[in-house]
Parts: sequence; structure tokens; C-alpha cells
Amino acid sequence: MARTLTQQLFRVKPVPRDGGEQGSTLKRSIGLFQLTMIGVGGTIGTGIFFILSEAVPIAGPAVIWSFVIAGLVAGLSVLCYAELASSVPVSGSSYSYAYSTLGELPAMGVAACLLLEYGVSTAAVAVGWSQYVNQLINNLFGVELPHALLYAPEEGGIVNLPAIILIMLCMFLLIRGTSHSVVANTIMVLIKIAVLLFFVAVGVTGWNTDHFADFAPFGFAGVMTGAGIIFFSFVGLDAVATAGDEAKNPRRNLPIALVAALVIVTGVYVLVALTALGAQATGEFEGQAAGLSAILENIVGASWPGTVVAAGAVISIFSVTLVVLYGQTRILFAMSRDGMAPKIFQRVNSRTMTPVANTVIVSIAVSILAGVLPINFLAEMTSIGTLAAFLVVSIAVMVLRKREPDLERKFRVPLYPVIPILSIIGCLWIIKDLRPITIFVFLGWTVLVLVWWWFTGRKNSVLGEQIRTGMIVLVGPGKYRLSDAAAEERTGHDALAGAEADGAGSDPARPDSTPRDSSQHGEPR
Amino acid sequence: MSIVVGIAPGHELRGPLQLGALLARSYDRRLVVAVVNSAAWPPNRSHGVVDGEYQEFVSAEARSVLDEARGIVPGDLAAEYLVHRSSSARRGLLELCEAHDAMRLVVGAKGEGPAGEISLGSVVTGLLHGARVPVAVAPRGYTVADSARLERITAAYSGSETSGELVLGAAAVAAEAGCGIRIASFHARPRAYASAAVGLDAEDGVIAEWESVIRDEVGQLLGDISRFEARPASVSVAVGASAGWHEALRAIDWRAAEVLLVGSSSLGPLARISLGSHAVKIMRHSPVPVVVVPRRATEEYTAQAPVSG
Repeated sequence: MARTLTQQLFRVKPVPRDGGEQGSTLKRSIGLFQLTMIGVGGTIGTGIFFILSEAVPIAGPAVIWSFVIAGLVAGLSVLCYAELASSVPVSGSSYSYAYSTLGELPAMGVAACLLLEYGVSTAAVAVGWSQYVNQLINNLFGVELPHALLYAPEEGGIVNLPAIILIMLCMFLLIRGTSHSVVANTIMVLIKIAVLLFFVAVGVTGWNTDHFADFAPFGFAGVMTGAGIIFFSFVGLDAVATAGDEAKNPRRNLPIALVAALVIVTGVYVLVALTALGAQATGEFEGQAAGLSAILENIVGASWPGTVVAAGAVISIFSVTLVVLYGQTRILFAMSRDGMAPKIFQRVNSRTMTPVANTVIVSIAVSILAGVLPINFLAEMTSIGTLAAFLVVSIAVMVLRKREPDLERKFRVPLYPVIPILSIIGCLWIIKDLRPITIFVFLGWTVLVLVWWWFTGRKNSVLGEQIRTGMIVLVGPGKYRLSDAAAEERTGHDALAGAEADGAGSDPARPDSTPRDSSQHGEPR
Repeated sequence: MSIVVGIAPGHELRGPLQLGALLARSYDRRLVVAVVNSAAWPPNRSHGVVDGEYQEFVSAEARSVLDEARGIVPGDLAAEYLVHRSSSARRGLLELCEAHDAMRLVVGAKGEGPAGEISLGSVVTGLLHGARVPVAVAPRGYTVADSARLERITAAYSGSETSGELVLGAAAVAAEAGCGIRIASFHARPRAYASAAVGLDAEDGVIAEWESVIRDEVGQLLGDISRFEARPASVSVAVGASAGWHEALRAIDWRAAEVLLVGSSSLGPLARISLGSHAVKIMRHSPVPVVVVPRRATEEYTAQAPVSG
């Protein structure tokens, strides 16, 4: 019995060695520059526009070090992430990687982290967006939204309406099946970087060295707590690892792209932070909405630079919200197909070709979070979700090296085992300095997900069902492979897309539904 | 009933005329070839000398286009050639359809689009909203054998209820014309958002799920068609999938004399801005002529399908 339970907890989803469910013919090669842009695009804009108001009061001017530490830990973790991603011949989220390498229970743990990270960070980003929208409307039309409709109850408001509207708008776009091309991604990256550099160029004119006098008012603890909040700004860097599947020469390009993206992102963040700190005394950061715009307006004494920054922030944060919300729906979709989440999440509308119910449920849940929770709590929750996911990934790399030393890895962590160990220590260190409430909520959420899995997911597991019916055979401790019959069936299914079935038997679901008379009429060609 | 072909000076003639001839032969209808002259409007105005000269020039142009058309339309078809005066090309074509009890209106794609593709000009777009009969649009550079008959009608199935009804209508039309029907769904497989960190193949699962939904729905349509009294010569199903719409439309085979039928429910002005709609893309990239059933013609078209019991 115990052995069966262990098998159940750690059953590993087999992956076809030919790469993925289908679409392997569509593989593209992503070059180094594109890979770097994916990392930069996924990362910049998630937090820098509003995180300073939360982190500077805690860390003081030493917040610069918080950025560097958060960036370092993110970088170490993402290197581990890249090895895990390259060990599995399918591309997916860290949930998929964990399921294919560590087993079902750890995968559910990762899923809990991811759902939290994505859901909460969408909400956080939307709240930040609402500050800039308000600023923009105010600058352009002189209209200020009422406080009650801009802030969460804890901050003296009723509900954050713009944040909810933004999420609903993204929901509409995702339901419509809008595609987010590489070109659009690059344009967004350029807008973000341009706006931030514009901030630096204008902001530096108000430089005052006195602001750095009390450099670390709360010492190292303040710096680390700041790093915890700021870690949120590095969410998205893992996109480099998930795209690594299609990178040209991953062994060389993946670490380079990762480090390049990290250097660019951290460099821009530190520049922005330095400029902001030089332009404004530490005490003025607390509670400042649409921080970057406000700082410029105070320096220049005119509203136009703030308007430029606000406009850039509104556009780029919008794109980030769209991408993160999308990620959340697709993770749930993958879980649902594995039987780990309710079936409704995998229902696809035949007309829009998108998982509509999934998108609506996720958007409503996220908009509730965005409407009623304060931004600092949201940012911390995102950070802990990401850190925990990275922690599991770093452990996974070590477990896999031990368990499957011969597994083909397109990319291997350099300086093994130093980097995974440092990554684990870094993640734990930052987590320990987060507020207790954040840690408790996170643990509560994870337990909730695991309990849910214990009572429903475990029984509904598609993998479990396949093992029971003999579609999948046990080949070693925790390791399974598709039976020959199942592998054949999968190949047959792949052939359907793009192929044509004529006449009888064209519809595998209803082989009896075709008219019997299927003779062809017309001119012989 | 007739097949009305609208042609105009300076526009491609062969494509729409050959398509009109193909439809007229397949459906056994008369052909009406018309040039709309909208320069002579309003007709009762006392024309100055200059305007009179211009009118004469326009009429001569119209007559020469019709002469050219006579040389293109195959001799085995009964055809009528005329110049129709109206306030606009769009209105004129609608009036012609009314006057000649049109079963289909045939026009050419916009002149500037790429060869073999269908770009919608303003006149055609207007027709898609105003016409009460299905509008057939020939891709640029379209040709078909002079003696050709329709071999198959491919009905694009999008998963909407209307689209399902149109498929049944097309099956009835195919049965009447003695040709085959094919139910086809297309999709350009989207790539996942690169920066979402969910892997670039996240959409593959969504598409696989979509295909199984489509298969179920098409299965029901096939069941309905199998209960028709008069059935099409052949019935088939296809899914065209590729990375882009152009390739997706070419992922399935096309016969020499074939048309693709699409509904217009998602061709509205809203769908055409930025977001685009699948129907617009399917229409644009179709390698064969497209028959669009405008909203106003939908009810009549779908009513052709016998009520399945």
C-alpha cells in the first residue's frame, strides 16, 4: 500500500522523445538577440514603475543593493530552470517540467506556486497600471478619479476600478484570441526601455547627493526585505528558459541570453532607482502613486515629462498584464488536461479557438484580487510564489542529476552543484525576510491546493488513469513510458491536423455518420 | 433565376466571368453580365457639353468591356450583356440582382491585391453587407476550364451555429448541382506568448482540444446530411492547420473547379479592425473563389437544407 501511495505521489508523466504533443514540425530557431529580448520583454515593466514606492521606505537608498541581490538570485534560479527545461523534450511551464521529472505531488506544489505567482502578479501589475492611468487622465484632462475608486479598502478606498477594467479588457482580448507577435513584443520592450531611459535622462537633472546620506537606515535586514519585494520585478525572466527549447545552440546561447537579459534588466532598474533616489528624498517615496511620473513633475515643475512616462507605462504595463493573464490561463489549461484541475479549464470554444470559460474564471478571480488588495501585499505574494517555484526547480535539478545522470541535457548548469545550492540559499534567505502574513498566506494556499489534489486531482489524474488502463507502463522507480499501442495512437492523432479524411471514417468520433454514397462526381482531372 | 456578373472597365474581367460561367453551368442558370455606369447620375439632369462628352466616353468604355466579355464567356451558355445606370456601383449591382432574380452575384477581387488572393475593395465590402444573395468573389488571376462544372463545394465551418446551418445549406446546393460537399475548418496555429514562461507550444494543447470539439460538431453535421433525401455526390471533412493562414488554406487539397463558402457573421466592420476575424483571413487567403453568404441572405440560404428528422 505504502509503495503504491509513493508511486502515486511521484508518478512521472512520460514525454514522447520526439518532442511534444504535436507541432514539432513548426519548430523555429530563436537566435541569441531574440532570446535576450524575450527575457527583457518578459521582465521589465512588471514592477519598476511602481515598486520603488514600496521598497525604498523599507530599504532606504540601499534599495540599489536589493535590486542587485534580487537580480542575482533570480539569475541563479533561472540557470537551474534552464537545465530543467532542457532535460525535458517538451516546452512548457515549470509545472510541466516538474511533472515530467519529479512527479505528480511536486508538480502540484509547483502549480500552487505558479497559480499564485501569475494570478497575484497580474493583479499587482493591474493595480500599478491604475495609478498611471489616473495620472495620465489627470494630466491630460484635469480629471482625477475619486479616491474610493482607485484604492483597495485597506488603503482607504472601496475598490480599484481601473485595475478591474484593465483585466476585463485583457480578458476580452484573450477570448478573441489575439496573438502577440514577436514584433509586438519587441515594440513593447523598446517602449518600456525608452520610457525608463527618458525617466533617467530627465530625472538626473534633479540629482542631489544628500539624498544618499542615510544609505541603509534599516541595515542589511532592510536590504533583504526590500529584495523580497523587488524580486517581483524579476518575474518573467524564466521565459528565457522556456523558450530555450527552440533556441539555436542552447548550450551556448541560453546562459548568454540569460545573463545578458539579467544585466540589461538589472542595469536599467539600478539606473532608474539611482535617478529616483537622487531626485527625491527617501521619505517622499512612501505611498507615492505613479511614482516615476510624480518624481519628474516635481523636478521639472511641469506635467509633460510625467505624462510621457505615464503614457509609456500605461501601454507597456497593459501588455505585461495581457501576457501574464495569458500564462495563467494556459497553466490551468495544461493542468486540466492532466486531470489536475477541473475539466472546465480545458474547454475550448470552437468559434474563438480559445479556452473561454477558463479565461473568464481566471479574469474574474484576478480582478477581485486587484480590486480589493493593496499593492505591497500583492507584490510580496508574487515574490514568494516565484521564489518557491524557483526553489523547487533548483532542488529538482539536483534530484535529477542524482536520479538520472545519463539524461540528455541540452544545457547544464555551470559550476554544479554550487549554483543550485546558492540558488536554494538565496531563495530561502529572501523568503525568510518577507512579512509573516505573506508566508502564512502562501503556505495556506499551497496546503489548500495539495489538499484539493489529494481528494480530487489524485483520482482524476489522467496519468493515473493511463497507468490503470495499461496505456502507460512502469519502467522503473517513478518512471513510466507510453505503451506501444498508445504511442501509435498518438502518432495517428497528430496526422489528423492538416490531413484530410474523405468520406467514410472521416470522423473518428462518429464513423457511422457519413453518407454511404461517397462516389465522387465531376470531371476527371 | 440567374447568375449576375458585375464587371467594370479597368478591372480584371476573366476571373469573374469564368467564375460566373462555372456557376451558371453547374446550377443551370442564365448568365447576366453587367457594367454599372454610375457616372450618368442623376439621369434626368440637363447635361452640359463637357459632361455629355464624358458620358459618351464612359458609355463607350462600358460597351467595349462588354464586347471583351463576349469573347471570354464560353459559347455554350445563354448570356445577356447590359449596361445599368445607377447612383453607385454597389447600388447598381444590388438593383441588377433584384431585377434579374439573381441566385448568385459574382464580382472580382480588388485590383491591387497579390495574385491568387482576395483583397476586398470598398464595393465588394459594401455588397457583403447589402446583398440579399450570396456573393462569389474570384481571386486575382483566377482561371478555370471553359467546360468546367463545379466539382465540390467546401463549406468553412467555424463552430458557430450559423456556420453549421450554412454547411447544411451548402450540402443541399451541392446535392442539387450534383457535386460533392466538404466541411472544412481552418486555423493558423498561434504561438504562445514568448514572455509568458509557459513554453512556446502552450497553444498546441488548445488546438488539439479545439480539433476534437470541431470533430464532434462536424460529426453531428454529417449525421444531418446523411438524412437528406437528395444527398451530395460525396461528403468529406478536412482540417487545414499550419503556422499561418496562407499555409493553412493550402494544407488541404483543392480541385480545379471548387468554391469555398463562408458566412459573413464575422465579417462585420468591428471584426475587420485590428483584431481581424478568422472569416476575413480565410477569405483573403483562399486559393479558390469564395462565396460569401451575406447576413441578409443567410436565412434564405440555410432554408435550402431540408429539415432533418
